[in-house]
Order: sequence, then C-alpha cells, then structure tokens
Amino acid sequence: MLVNFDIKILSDQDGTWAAFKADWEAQCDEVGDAFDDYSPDVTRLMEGIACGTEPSLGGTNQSAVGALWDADTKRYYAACVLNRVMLPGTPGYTLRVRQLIVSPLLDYGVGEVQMYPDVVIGMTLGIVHLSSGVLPANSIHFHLRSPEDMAYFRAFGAALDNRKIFASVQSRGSWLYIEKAAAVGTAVMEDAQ
Amino acid sequence: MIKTMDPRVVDAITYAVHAAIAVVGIDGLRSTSMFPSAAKQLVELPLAA
Repeated sequence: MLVNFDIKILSDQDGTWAAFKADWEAQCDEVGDAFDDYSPDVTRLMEGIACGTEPSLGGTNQSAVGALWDADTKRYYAACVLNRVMLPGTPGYTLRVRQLIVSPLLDYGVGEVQMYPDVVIGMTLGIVHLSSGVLPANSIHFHLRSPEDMAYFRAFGAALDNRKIFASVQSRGSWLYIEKAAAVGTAVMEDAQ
Repeated sequence: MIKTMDPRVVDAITYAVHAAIAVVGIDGLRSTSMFPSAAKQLVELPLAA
C-alpha cells in the first residue's frame, strides 16, 4: 500500500478539492458520520484555502492543502494545511504543517491496524517531498496541538534525529522543527528507479 | 512519490514513525489530534441541575 501513496495539493480549479470532499463524504457515510461534522473547523479552513476564499498570507508566503492519495484504493487517507512562510531571522522558507488529520475510515478504526503507521509514514514523506518540490523550504515545522501530539512527535523527532538524515530535528514548545541538510535532498533518484 | 524519494529519507522516516509508535502505542497515536474523534472524547456534557 505504502508505495502507491502520493501527496496532492488540493485545488478547486483542477477538481481535486471536489474529489477529496466527495471521497471523505463517502467515508463519513460508511462510518455513520456527516462530513459537515467531521472536524468542521479544519475541513472548512481546508475548503477556504483550496477554493481561494481564505485570506492570503501576503507577500510570497502561501497556503495550501496537502492530501495523501492511495492509488490502489482510490481514496484519500489524510490531509493537512501547509503554510510556506519566510520567518524572521531565517535564511529560507519554512513549511509549517498545521491541522493534520486522518480520514474518517481511519478515525473510526475501519481497516487494518497496519494502516495507521502506513498513513502516518506516507503523509510525513509526502510533506518532506513537497518541501523539495512544489513548496520548497529549508525547514519543516509540525504544529503540535495537544499533549498527546507532543508525546508522539517528540518520540518521532528523537528517533529521526538519531538517524542523522536531516541537519537537526528538535522539539520547541508546540512545534517539531526539522532543519533539512543541504546534502540530503528528497529529489528524484534516477538510479533508484 | 516514494519511488522518487531519497531512500535514506524514506528509511529514516519509516524507522522514526515505527519507533514513536513503539513508545506511545497505537492508542497513543490514536489519541493525537490527527484523529478527530480523540478531540470529541474531550467534550463534556453539562451536568443536570
């Protein structure tokens, strides 16, 4: 399953927002929920960004909605709000990850337990992939919204930092900072294909 | 997507996610804000007068 994941930037103009919404409405139907009640603060924000009705961040900063697409099942399994911003005192852009949520099927526990790590891995890889592609950034900051988020992301950050793939991975307050190393990219590896 | 990424990055993130889940458990992962129903569990109904 993992290898057929892809990350998509959702847009009203190319129909991807409508496709995403239709899929999550169907997933809500399958679990007995309603899309309008499924994390409505997050999904309304996502809709505003994808449809261009949300106020712009200004300057060269930009917002986007990223969603994890599985080509096997033709479903979306996670989504998040992405803000690409130039923060004061930083040499390049930072990709801020906010409002990361999984799809209704996962939230309601439908599917195998293995789907949880697969989807979290896929979404994390997708965000790193975007930071080297359509939303280029030197740093990735994950916003942690709860004490449970801090427990998970601090463990994730510590394990990731130990692998020395990125320049540094640090927890700072309600954020997990990933500073990317210049020597390690996520670009296309022609030899690996 | 994954086929086009640096395999070292894929390996490191895969390792780190599994390591984090080993620490917090699947229930710990499910209690994060990534799972909207975890937030719903925090809603408390008002007590009857």
